Amino acid sequence: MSRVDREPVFVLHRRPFRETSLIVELLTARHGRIVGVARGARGPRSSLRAFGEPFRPLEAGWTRRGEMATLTGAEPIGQAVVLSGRALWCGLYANELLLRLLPRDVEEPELFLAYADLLPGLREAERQGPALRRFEWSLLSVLGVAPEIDVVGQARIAVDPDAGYRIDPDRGPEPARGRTAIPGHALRALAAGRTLTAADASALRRPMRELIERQLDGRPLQTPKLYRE
Amino acid sequence: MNDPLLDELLQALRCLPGVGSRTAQRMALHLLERDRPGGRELAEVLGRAMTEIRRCSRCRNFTSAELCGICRSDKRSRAVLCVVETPGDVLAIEQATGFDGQYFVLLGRLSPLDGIGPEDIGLDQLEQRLAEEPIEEIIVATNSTVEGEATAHYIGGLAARRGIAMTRLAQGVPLGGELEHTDSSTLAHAFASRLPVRGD
Repeated sequence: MSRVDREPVFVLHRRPFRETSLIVELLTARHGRIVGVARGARGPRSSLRAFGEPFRPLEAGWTRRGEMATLTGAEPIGQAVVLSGRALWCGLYANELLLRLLPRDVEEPELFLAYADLLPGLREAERQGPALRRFEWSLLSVLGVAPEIDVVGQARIAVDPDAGYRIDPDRGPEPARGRTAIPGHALRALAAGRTLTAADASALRRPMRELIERQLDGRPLQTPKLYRE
Repeated sequence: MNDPLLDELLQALRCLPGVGSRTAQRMALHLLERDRPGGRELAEVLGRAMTEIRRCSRCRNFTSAELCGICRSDKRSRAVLCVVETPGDVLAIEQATGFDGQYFVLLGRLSPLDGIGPEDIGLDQLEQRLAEEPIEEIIVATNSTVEGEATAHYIGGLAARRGIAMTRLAQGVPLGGELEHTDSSTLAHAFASRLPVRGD
């Protein structure tokens, strides 16, 4: 049996279990995504109540034997990130991406940091697009399915910041024209981890969605159906 | 208990929330030993309720008629519609407030991560009511959870498209609550939505 104490986590999702408990999906700093049961967490005085609240940075403890952890403690840390309206839907989308694409127990500290960076970015409308694109890209990179997007073809010629491109999921950027072409500077900024502008982010939205869709085995995401950013 | 019918009764009672094997045993023995008329009445009423109670065709609350009492009443305002998650929420609001408008009971909440979409909670029906009835204000009284908030935002979109005002229940420090003992998320919400105080 393994035991973990005071591990930074985020609640990705939780569903009621029996009368007073919760089954909780967590993204943890050092142990990847795990699932656990929080016994009695729905009771008004439970010390595990904080597991009912996604998007809140917590320090959690658990013991574990087999797949399901038994959650033993939850303490909120730092300031509450209050997401409402549009920002909340963006947050739900990020959670759905993690639940669908990140397998359990894959240790990816980088992704935890990317998620922690994403949430504050969602609070301001004009930063939502850039924050989501950055997060989607981190997720695809961690999963090892992100194509190289700053070089063209086998000759690996650097993408021209002033030219337009489309992304082939296998071959990477290819020259393109027209309204849907992605500006080269947006691809370079994304690959280099530089700040994206709102315009870059909206040009990158469709290609990112296509890259993500390829990973979903034909079962579409639910959040984008209900809410378009 | 060695008797098939008694075992069946114990098993059946366990469908109630909070009832495990011990409680089921106590309930069954109580009815058999001390209150057979009560037991018969329970069985009869339960039987009728399970067949006759359905959803009100306008507000989706439980009723044994086509329309529930609130929807039938001509004393209640048609201009204000309060949207709640469960029939229990209707009772809570009726008992606690002097609200005299109409209700719409979702019987759930939007939860895309569980695959629960707008049709599953009757939002298509709500949209139709917004189109057909002279509603001026929607009060969204969904729970203060992530799903309740997402549901409220979605309904906000429906209301905005029809130019109907929408309000949401305030969130804040409970009455009689001390700040020191209020959980930090509630306090953050209360702080962000603080109200002006008139000093007159």
